[in-house]
Amino acid sequence: MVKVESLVKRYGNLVALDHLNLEINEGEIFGLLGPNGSGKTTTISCMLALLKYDKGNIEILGEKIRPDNYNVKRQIGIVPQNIAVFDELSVYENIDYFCGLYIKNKAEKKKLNNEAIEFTGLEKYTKMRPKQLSGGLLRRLNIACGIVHKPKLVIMDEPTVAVDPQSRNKILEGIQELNKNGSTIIYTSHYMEEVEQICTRIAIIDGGRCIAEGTKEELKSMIKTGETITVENIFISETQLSEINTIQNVFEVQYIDNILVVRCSSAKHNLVKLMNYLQDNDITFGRVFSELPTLNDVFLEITGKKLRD
Amino acid sequence: MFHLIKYCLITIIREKSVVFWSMLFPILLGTLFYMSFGSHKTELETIDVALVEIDNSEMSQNFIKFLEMIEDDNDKLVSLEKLSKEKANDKLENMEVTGIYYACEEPELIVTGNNINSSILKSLLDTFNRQAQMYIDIAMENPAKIEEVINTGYKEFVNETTLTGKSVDGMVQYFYSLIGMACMFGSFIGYLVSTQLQANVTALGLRRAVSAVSKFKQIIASAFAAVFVHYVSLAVLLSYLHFILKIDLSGNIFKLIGICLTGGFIGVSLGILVGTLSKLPDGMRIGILVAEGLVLSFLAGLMISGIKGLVEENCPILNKINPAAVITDAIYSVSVYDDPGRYTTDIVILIIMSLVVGIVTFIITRRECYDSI
Repeated sequence: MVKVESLVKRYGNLVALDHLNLEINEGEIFGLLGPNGSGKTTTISCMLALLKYDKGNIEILGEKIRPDNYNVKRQIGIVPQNIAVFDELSVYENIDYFCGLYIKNKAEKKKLNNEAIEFTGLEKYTKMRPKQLSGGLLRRLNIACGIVHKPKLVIMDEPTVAVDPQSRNKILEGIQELNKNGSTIIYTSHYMEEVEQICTRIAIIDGGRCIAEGTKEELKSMIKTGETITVENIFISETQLSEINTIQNVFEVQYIDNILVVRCSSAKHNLVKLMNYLQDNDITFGRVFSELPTLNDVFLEITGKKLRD
Repeated sequence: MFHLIKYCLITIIREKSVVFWSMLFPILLGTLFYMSFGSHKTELETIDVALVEIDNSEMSQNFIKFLEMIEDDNDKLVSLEKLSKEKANDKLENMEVTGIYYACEEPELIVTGNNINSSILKSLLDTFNRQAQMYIDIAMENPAKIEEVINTGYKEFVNETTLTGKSVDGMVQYFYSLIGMACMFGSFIGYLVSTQLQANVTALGLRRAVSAVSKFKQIIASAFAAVFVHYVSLAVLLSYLHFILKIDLSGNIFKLIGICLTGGFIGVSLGILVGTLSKLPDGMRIGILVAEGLVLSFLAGLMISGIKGLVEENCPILNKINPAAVITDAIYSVSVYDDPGRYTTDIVILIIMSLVVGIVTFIITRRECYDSI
């Protein structure tokens, strides 16, 4: 569906995209994950033929993307990071306007408008102006305007920024439904939880390069961390810390502000082994919890920095 | 195309700031002008004045004759009461008259206060003295003509008029400049549609730029809607000035429409052009629009009546490249001078300006692919 080959984009001396390669297949929800400034939006802008790029090639639906390639553009829906609607038009008029940029037939347009309104749950707000809507509803309107013409490829650039958790879940559910209805989705975000929740395949971008790509399971299997155990309100000595480091499968131990964080490679009974050690040495402690690796761990291990740094 | 134009029209009409600056503000300003000085002629009250005949000299009789003529005038500026010196003084003390004229060899005036009525009485005396001196001069230099001149009476010898017989009321220039300003304020409409079109300015522009409709079509539809709304607002303004405020916009109506069509087009195009300055913050671009409209109108004489003439004396080229000044001049050439040559020159300048600004604007806005967003 989308093929990005060795894409290079420079802003003066700054290299925004550094030989970026991506391949997105039909039916996927493809996540572009990376911190702010990693090159996600630049990649999207190049895909949409809005930005000139210095090197590389982009193909969408088998055709090279150009500003005047309206046949391809007709198959694409865009949900930009910032709200892109007319303040002066009502919810219905906004959706109708954007639908009219793709569909000429009046009856079909009306049908699609109503479907988009129903899909985004905006039935009660059709006569309201954007300024009268809450942040979550505004995001839903932003999405409705991007998907109203039922595009084959929907590009969503951080569509949940500054949205409350309830609205965010609704939006994420909607994206999954959209995908079930046949649209391929490209979803950019710096929220790893969202990407992990909905994306079928993920590319992690940093410094304009794709540093890892695959399903979330594949990405997690790329790293050493299999389990992270955290113990709160614990008081241990340097010697005990060194001993914990020698427990089987443990490869990293951190002890800061009476919180012990133990990273282990993927294996059975890591937690039991640590608990046994603490019990044998009469060490008291507070809450204990064990976490499976997240995409943040993947990013941390590959780049040495946290995703939200 | 109809779809694009329809929604662009709705967008413009519903944008309150655009409606205010491009439609309501010129009407409000016109109303303020009218309330300040637009009614032109102020009704003056008749001034009661005493007349004391001191002697029977020729000058004294002429002065009385002059005052009686002023009294008989339709405007009824003064009301004379022939009194003795004592009675006149009493009336002046009791404020029953504004002043006392003494008809003698050297006519005199006594007033008690320093107000506008006193000034008018003083002005009448000065007028008489000037005319009397004129007769003396004629009698000395050309005695044969003196009888003929005296027989004409104390009529006004100089009448202000134009060659075409049309209005030369200086205050009307404010309203002509106002029309120039209104044309320039179309830039607010142009600015609105421009920002909504540019992918490097607004997210809305970005979304429209990646749609299946070409940028060319979108620009044409937006420009058409903007210019249409602006023309309607100009038509409303002209109608308001002409029919409600009764401002003399006489002359060829088609020529006036021609001026507004080209002037309005320049206004909208300038707004679109300012809207493309993506590197400047929104507030600064709006500031440029307001400043552009006001400065150009100021130089065209909107705020100070003689400024256009001053520019013409010191930097005439400015009056040729300032669209507001050219618009004002074109309206003058139609409504006052009735000068087809001058009108043609102005309209050609406006058309050239329209083409240059329009083409530059189109070239900038039609860009679909950017170096940075």
